[in-house]
Amino acid sequence: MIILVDAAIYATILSILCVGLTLTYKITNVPNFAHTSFAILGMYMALIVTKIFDANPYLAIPMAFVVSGATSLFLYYFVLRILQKRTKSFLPLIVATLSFDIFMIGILNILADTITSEFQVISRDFTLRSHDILIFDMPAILILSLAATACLVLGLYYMLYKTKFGIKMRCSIENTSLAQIYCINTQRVFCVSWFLSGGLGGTAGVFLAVWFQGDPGLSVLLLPSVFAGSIVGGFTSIYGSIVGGLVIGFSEILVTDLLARNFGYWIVSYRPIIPFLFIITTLLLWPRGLSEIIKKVQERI
Amino acid sequence: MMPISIDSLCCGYGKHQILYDVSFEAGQQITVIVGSNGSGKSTLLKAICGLADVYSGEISLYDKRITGLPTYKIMSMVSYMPQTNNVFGDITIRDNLLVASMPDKPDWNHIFEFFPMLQDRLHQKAKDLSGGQRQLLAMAMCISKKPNIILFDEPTASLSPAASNMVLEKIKEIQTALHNCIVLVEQNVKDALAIGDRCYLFAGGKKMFSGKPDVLLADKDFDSKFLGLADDNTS
Amino acid sequence: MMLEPWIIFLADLVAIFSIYLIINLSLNLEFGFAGIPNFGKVLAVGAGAFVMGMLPIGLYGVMFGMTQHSIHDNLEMTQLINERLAVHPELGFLVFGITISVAMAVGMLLGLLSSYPAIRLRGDYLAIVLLAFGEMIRIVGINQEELVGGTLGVRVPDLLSFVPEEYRFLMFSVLLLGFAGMVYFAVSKFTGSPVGRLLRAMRDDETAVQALGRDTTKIKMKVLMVAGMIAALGGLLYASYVEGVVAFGYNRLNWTFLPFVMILVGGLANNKGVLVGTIIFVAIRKLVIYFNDGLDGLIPFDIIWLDYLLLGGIMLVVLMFRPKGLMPEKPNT
Repeated sequence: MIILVDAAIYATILSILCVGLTLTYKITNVPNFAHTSFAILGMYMALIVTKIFDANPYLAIPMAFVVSGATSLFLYYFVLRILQKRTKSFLPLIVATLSFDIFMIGILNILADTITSEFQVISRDFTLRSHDILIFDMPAILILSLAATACLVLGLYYMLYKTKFGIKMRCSIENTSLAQIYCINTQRVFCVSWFLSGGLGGTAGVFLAVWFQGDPGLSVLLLPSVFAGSIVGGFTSIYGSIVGGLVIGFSEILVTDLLARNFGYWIVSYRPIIPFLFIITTLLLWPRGLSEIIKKVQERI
Repeated sequence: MMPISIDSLCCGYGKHQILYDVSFEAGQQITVIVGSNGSGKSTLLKAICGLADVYSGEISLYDKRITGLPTYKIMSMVSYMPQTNNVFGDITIRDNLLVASMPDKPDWNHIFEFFPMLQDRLHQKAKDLSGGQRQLLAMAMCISKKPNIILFDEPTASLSPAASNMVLEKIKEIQTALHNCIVLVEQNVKDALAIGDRCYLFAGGKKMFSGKPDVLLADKDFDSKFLGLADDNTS
Repeated sequence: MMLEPWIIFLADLVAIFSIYLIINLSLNLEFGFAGIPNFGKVLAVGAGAFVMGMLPIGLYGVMFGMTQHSIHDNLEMTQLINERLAVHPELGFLVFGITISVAMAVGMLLGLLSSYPAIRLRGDYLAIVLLAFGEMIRIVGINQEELVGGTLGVRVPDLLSFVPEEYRFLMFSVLLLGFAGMVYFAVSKFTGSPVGRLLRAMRDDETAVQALGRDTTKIKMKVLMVAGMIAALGGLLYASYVEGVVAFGYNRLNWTFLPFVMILVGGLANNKGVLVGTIIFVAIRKLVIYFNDGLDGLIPFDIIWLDYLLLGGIMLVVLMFRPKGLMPEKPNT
């Protein structure tokens, strides 16, 4: 049972991260290798709010959303936007997000060390699980993370298809220069998307901190899973990425558990290979991923 | 007060210069720009919209200097119809017109007055339209804001003769009804000159002629000077 | 006799420089010349190091009739082997030669493996797949203890055991510099030849090269195989320089990101630029570590994280303000 709870929480958090990654890839064509560092930033916001200000971890969500969103916006506005103006090549962009990730690893570790040395709070391999509350005898995180994913699905649908900003967004994605011709401030649309993507990452980080162990090193471990989720979802389909995140999350935990029961526990340490296998097989054999299926379902609705 | 006045403009893309010291004016009439491929006539329209890099010179709309402004700001004063990819294929016709008239709501009566055939296709996706219909939708998007200035970049390119006649007639109709300033860049020289009130001839990024279309048409060397050149380039 | 500290500093600088130069030249071949974004550089480097960690100790064990377990009694075994090698240096070179050939063959195979996605995928998708390839080697290395000792790692016998201890360090640096020189010479010769021009043409316009009747698939395969060989050599030399292999060390930062930083700062598709970029970064990193000791205790965090800020920061600044590197590619040379 506990393994199912674990899997559900992990899978929903992963799908929130996948949505963020897909959003910025779809809109500005940048595979953001620094995406999970926004989540870890949110994680530390949760630690600060819980341990230093002695409040409920969920109160950290607004702060995490803003701080991670602002970091993400910074990356786009001051680095990627300028690089994109100069070249059409994707390589400088990849190298730039990788560099930003390295930079963020430095920042996050400095943050962790400083929290420990200044406030005597454990900041590595920490968990806030004991601060979680119970709703209907269930851990609140389970309900909240599921609810957050559901809200995300509905909220994104509403935003993309029912609001003016959504139409502007879809136009900017399809044809940036034509969107500009029709008075759409595409730059603002892109900036909002990056802020949103980072903010979602930060929120996912708060959820992660409540249930799993938090550590600066988690960023590197989480990144392949998030990429795998987005890629399995087709990489340009928002809904695909939600499903993809769920698929990767559940298979990482449940499949490993199943294999471990049958073949021995040495398999558990190979869990990190699962997302890579998904990435490689999807891109080589089925590059459009789940997006094809999602599209058919959407058309039927 | 001229709707468009351009003073000794030099512009291009990045390091690649296209236009050399071009001055240009357009009043409340149809101004046609003709010239062979690569003569820089489309670039002039893009420069007005802020889509090309201006090295020197001034562009003003109604005496307001717009050089260097971001595209989305300029476009509140101008409508521009690009040669290709001029509609959003993945969204419906209704949404296309909605986007084109933002921030206001579309004036449907005004649009259907000129383009009645769009009325019963509003919920179709734009990519499902035929070539000619797509051009009409793009034109409808251009007029939806009732702009004082409209720039058309080769609206008849890749259309059948019948469809291109329809498009040119539509342009004439719009100008007669709205009395606005229309700049029309065309390859289809003779038909375009027929509806134009004033015309410019570009070659090699420089202005070669400006004046009444009949003067250009009456020029004995017209064919060799101009059409011959065009044929060489298009064949 | 003890060596002066500055000599040790310089010798270490030369050694690390030579190793990175070899790896960077191979990356430049793939990425700078052929345009294949090999974000899984660590794959071949790690494989070379793993071969160095596994093969020699096994060969010596058979040769000297040892009964110990190469992983569990690793320390004892390497000590005994080093004692024997001090008397029979020729055996050391023989085994070293065999190891190099095997490592390069493995590198070549991995290059062949990477060419499977490289032929089928474009752009960022290819980069992501190659990155995934690269990550897998570390996971396998950490978890399969019988390869290179899992999390604890293994020691590697010292080839230069016969040299008196005080000169060993210097000798190895000279040896590494020799290897780097050979690789530099060979790669320059290769990129300066018509094949080098063909690679750049393929990078800039693949269809045009195909239209000229060249099989770009084969070209890519060959380039990746050659580059895999060179990178494996680099990994092997690093493992023998530090006399050990720990799978944790073969991460994306050190063996993929850093080589990319070095060649991008130096200048893509320009071997001299790669030389310059490598020197700059190896020197900066060494100096940072050297001067870091002075900062200890003054700041509330571990100093190694400043290294991350510096590396990430420099790369971003270079990308933004000097996108072609310090020595840009020369047209048609």
